Amino acid sequence: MRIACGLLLFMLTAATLSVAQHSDAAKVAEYAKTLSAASAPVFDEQKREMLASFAISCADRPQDNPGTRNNYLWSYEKMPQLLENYDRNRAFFGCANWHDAVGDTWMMMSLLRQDPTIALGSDIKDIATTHFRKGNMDGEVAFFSAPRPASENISLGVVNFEQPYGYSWLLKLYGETKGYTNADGKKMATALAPLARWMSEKYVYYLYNLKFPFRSGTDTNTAWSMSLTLDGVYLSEDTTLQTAVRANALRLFSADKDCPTGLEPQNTDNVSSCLTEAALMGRVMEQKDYLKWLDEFLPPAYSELFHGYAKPIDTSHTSTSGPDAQVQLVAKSHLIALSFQRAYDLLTISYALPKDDPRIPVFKTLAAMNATRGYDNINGAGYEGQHLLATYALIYENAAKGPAPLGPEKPKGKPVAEGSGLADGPAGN
Amino acid sequence: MRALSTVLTLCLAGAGALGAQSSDPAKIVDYLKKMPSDKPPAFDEVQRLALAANPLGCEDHPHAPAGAGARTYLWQREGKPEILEEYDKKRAFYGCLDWHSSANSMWMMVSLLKQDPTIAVGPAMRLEFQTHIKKENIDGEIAYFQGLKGPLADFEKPYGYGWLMKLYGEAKSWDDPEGKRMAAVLEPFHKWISENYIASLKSLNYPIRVGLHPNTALDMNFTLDYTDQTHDTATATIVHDTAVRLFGNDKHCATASEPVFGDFASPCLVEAALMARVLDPKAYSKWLDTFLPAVDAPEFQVYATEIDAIHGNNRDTTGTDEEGLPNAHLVGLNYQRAADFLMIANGLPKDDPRVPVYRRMASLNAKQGYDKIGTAGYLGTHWIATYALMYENLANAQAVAPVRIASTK
Repeated sequence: MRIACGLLLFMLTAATLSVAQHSDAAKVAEYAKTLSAASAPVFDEQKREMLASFAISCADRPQDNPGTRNNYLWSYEKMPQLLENYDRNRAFFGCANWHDAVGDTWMMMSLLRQDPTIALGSDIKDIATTHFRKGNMDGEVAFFSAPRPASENISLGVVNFEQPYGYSWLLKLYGETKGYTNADGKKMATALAPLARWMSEKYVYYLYNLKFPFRSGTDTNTAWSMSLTLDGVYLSEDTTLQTAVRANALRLFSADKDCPTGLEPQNTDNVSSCLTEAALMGRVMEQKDYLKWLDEFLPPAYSELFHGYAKPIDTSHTSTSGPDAQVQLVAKSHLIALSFQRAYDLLTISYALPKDDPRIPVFKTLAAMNATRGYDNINGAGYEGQHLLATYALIYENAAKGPAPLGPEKPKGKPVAEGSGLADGPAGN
Repeated sequence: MRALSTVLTLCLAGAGALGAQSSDPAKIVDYLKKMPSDKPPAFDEVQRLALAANPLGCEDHPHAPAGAGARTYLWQREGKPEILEEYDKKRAFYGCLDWHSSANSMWMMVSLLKQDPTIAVGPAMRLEFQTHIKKENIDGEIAYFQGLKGPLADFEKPYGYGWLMKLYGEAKSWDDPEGKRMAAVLEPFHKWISENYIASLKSLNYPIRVGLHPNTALDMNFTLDYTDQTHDTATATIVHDTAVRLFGNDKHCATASEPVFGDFASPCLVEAALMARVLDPKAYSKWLDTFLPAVDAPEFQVYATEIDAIHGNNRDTTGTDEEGLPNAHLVGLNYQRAADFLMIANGLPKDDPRVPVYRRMASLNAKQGYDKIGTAGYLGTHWIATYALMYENLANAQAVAPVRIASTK
């Protein structure tokens, strides 16, 4: 009996290995039936206005004094003091923190580009004009490129302020402004160009020297940062950057297997670690290789380990009555953003599959469910949500329109050997 | 055909447990036979003195001004850092590089003195208690913590909070006038801290699973150490319920991706250790079956592999420590794993064949810890001795009998 069992098991195992488990069309279709019918949220003028107004309301609200003492906006001579003339010397001083200020700016630029007649268009232009003045952008470049005193080296957030997440947002924003064909847009792109050039170079250097990826579901997540960067590359035509993302994604993630989807999310996650990596790989791998990789990386769509993505994200325990109310709201806002982020990932994965793949309707339904829950809770975390959630909503909405173009040309780049570091990368720094 | 399909069903049932632990005791015994039998050094007076030197050497060494944890606790100004005036009268935990390490060093000394009242450095340790744990210092702590606002309001929460509760519990249960004095002085601070910790525990929607300070299971273990010492069943019940809510359904922990560079806790083992204290042995054995891989599975062998403290073994690293020293966290991780393994073994039914394997794993990891304990400079000496003692307390049955909570769920 044991031998028979062993043999059978062996055969079964071999069978699951040779037949891609996810492509079990019948099981996938069966699972799809169990999902309640969910249609994607409607993205109309009203919704666009709502998103834009979030960004408008935060763009000119200076960030709080952060705990990390990064000296970006607040200095620590005696009492914390706001930088003099900060609105003339910094461009991204609003929306709670630097990367969200950039993200909100991107959101406004993207909304305006796809709907030039949007009612809030003039407000958006005002913000762009006052934040993108030469003095403001010069101040940004000077801040980032200034050498940091060695005594501050211990403190994270000081040495590599906003690297890589904020850099990725800036590169995405730069691509967005490059997509404008009118004079206003061109002016913005020109204003951003020096900072974008500087960040692109540093980011490329960073990627080639990254020994292992960060996999947490937070802003440090390497795959998510790479995805945002790729979005910008299409219009900025930065082929060096594009090659760097692609080559390093393949180097860092190609061998990954069995992502622990069952242990997602963690309490302050705004990114699904497993789905975001799968979404990125769908954009950088050949479809044939991707299908094989995905089968080993994600559990089958119908398996219990995947069901977490169909469940609402629970924020019911968040209590904001204590002295740490703001900390609690930050955690909650991240979990709300996670709904949109999952939705984006699921759509992006579905775009990488063959047209007749039975997983596509499942992923699309799950995306719609998650996005709907995101909108349901978009006002659920006060200002901590407002400065962030609309941006994540638009990331989803843009994906809902179809696959992101990957131009400017067919991506090139081969996986680089581990530790080869600078040998294959451009000499940064 | 029916016979064949029965066979198939049986086999599939077996296959369905794929990833679950092998329940074949023979295989486990085989694995045990192949394990090395290295043991950590004896925990004698010499060893205890060596450990005691670490907290004694750091408690009066103020935190560095630029440390990420320093914030506004000790240093007032950034441009020209200036230490708080009369800090040694307004703060209690200003030494040992950061707040939580100062608190855990204080705990470590109390625990050591409790089990070895005649230890040669006893008077020196008592002097530390008397100079740091005074009413005016603790008043300063309370005022500082109560004044924190906005994004700074979670200073040292939850990890430092866990240590403060553990310190209070250790002092409170110490049958010595100094213990009673300390507990009385700490009591109002402990009350404020524990109330806020419990509120934040109830506010957690999901756990944090990183191998660092915010790890939810790690901090809950500290809280249980406190409740075991003080028989605070109300708090223990909340921890139990929260553990079941957050971790009760967890399966297939990703052991193979441990350790991340910079980890000092094993996310999988520390969660398994917590559940060992929360579930009854039978339920725990079942939960563990699907949570950890079998001891002879390839994914489990990370715990039998020496941690490369210089380069890290895998994942999430951007490089080594600047000075080429071993990463202090990765050195301490050895002890943390060892303590987890002992808690896991203690939570299983006595005749479970995994028990001797986990105990051996504990010894192997503890030995690795002792091999490297002094190699990481001050970044190690300000805290690792505490982690060594947490292991020793379990290994030498100094651990207090757990408060058993009837499961409410």
